[in-house]
Amino acid sequence: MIIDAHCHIGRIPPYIELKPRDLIRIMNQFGINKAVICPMGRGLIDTPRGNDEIAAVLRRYPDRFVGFAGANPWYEEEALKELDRAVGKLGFKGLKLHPALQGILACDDLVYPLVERAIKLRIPVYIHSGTPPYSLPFQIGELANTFPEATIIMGHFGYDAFWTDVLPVAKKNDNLFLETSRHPVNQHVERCVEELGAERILFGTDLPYTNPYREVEKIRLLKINEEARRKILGENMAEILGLKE
Amino acid sequence: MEQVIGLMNETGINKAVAMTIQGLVVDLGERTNDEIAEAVAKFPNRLIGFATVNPWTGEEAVEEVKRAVTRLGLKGLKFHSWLQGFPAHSEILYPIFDLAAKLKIPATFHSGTPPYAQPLQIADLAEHYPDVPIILAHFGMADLWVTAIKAAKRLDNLYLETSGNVIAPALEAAVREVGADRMIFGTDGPWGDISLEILKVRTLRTSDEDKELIFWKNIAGILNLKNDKNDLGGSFEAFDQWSFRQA
Repeated sequence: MIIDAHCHIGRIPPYIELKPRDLIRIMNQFGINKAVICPMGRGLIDTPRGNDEIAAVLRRYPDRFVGFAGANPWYEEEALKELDRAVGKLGFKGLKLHPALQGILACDDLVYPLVERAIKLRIPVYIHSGTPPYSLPFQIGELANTFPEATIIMGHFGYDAFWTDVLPVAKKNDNLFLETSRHPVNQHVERCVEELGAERILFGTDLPYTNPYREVEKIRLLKINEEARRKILGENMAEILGLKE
Repeated sequence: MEQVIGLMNETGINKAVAMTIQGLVVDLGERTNDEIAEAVAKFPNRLIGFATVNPWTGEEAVEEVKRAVTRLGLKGLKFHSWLQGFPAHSEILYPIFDLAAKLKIPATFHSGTPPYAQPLQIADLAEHYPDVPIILAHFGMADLWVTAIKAAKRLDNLYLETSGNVIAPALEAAVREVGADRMIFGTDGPWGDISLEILKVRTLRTSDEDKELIFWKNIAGILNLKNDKNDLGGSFEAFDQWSFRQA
């Protein structure tokens, strides 16, 4: 099974748009069975609305999509209620945070209640990484260190300027998983497979921000064995999400 | 240098740690640290020198640290991983810090500027070298001070230096949550205004004992400066006279 650990449905004018139909088409083209979709842009700030939009898509394509809910840590109690609603009523299976977009340090104390709730709900937390000053690998690692029971997914593998932060912090926190979308350095991913194990790495595309050919081919080009590749392409995420084949 | 000494006299600063500016961005070879040593030699009771090396030069950098400390009498290391172009936690620093641990010298890092000068990167280095006092200059500045405090709570060889951090709650939180015994006063002159930097610490809502720690006792301890009452401390009167005269 191939699972895209991270992509989006929706629209941010003027450049960014992906409709569910089009995502399905791309998934079929590349043999991706399931994709984790989450809100983006405004949907991460006005999260009830963002989550409702994603929930409608989840209802239409229940066997292709898995939802990660947005919650805005600034809203404190309301954010917790929204996460409860998204998971309990709307069937979401993870929490998505974007500290840079949401304007809050990844390891800020205000983020803690949401992570605690995620632990209680037994859902992973996906956090965008690679955008200074607030969405950085070491900060996400600090959060992972504070909550060893949480499953924390570092989105985009540190992305670009921060790739040197990734391996040191992932070595120290084995509840940190690294998602591949956007990240350009295959040699670095190979080194992480070597030093952390393929089990810690998750394939994602980050559509519609990226070129799907590139994100998929990237994984095919990794100089790793086929068992590792299968784990990265979907087995790891299936295990995190508790999905059966 | 004479200007600096003049300013120190006006504002009641007894001693200052001197560091290079140009040497951070230009390869001056041995001149970088020779110049610092020359300034210290001119004002031996007033100045203490920190050495800067370029970790990209590998063995050369290690040799230069050895020379700077054992020949030139410099007392610590200064890195500016942003301007010098390396991530503060980079393994290229390890041979230098192996030596720093042996020589028992501290190191100070500009902190607060991604991508390469994040407090948590410096903390990662500090974790590898628990016996080396590592000073976070500006302790994360306006955007990253929270991470500096979190790291300093975890690692007791991290020190929070006050210059260039304009966030009042950051300094208050540092006293409260890390402790005045791990804070170090600095000015970042000539970028920082010396008098404003002193004022910032002078007006902290904490005891005079805490301020003595921050203004001189902590750094004197780290640098093993002699505790000569004439030599150290007692600068409040001069500063208060000077600053309240301005008001």
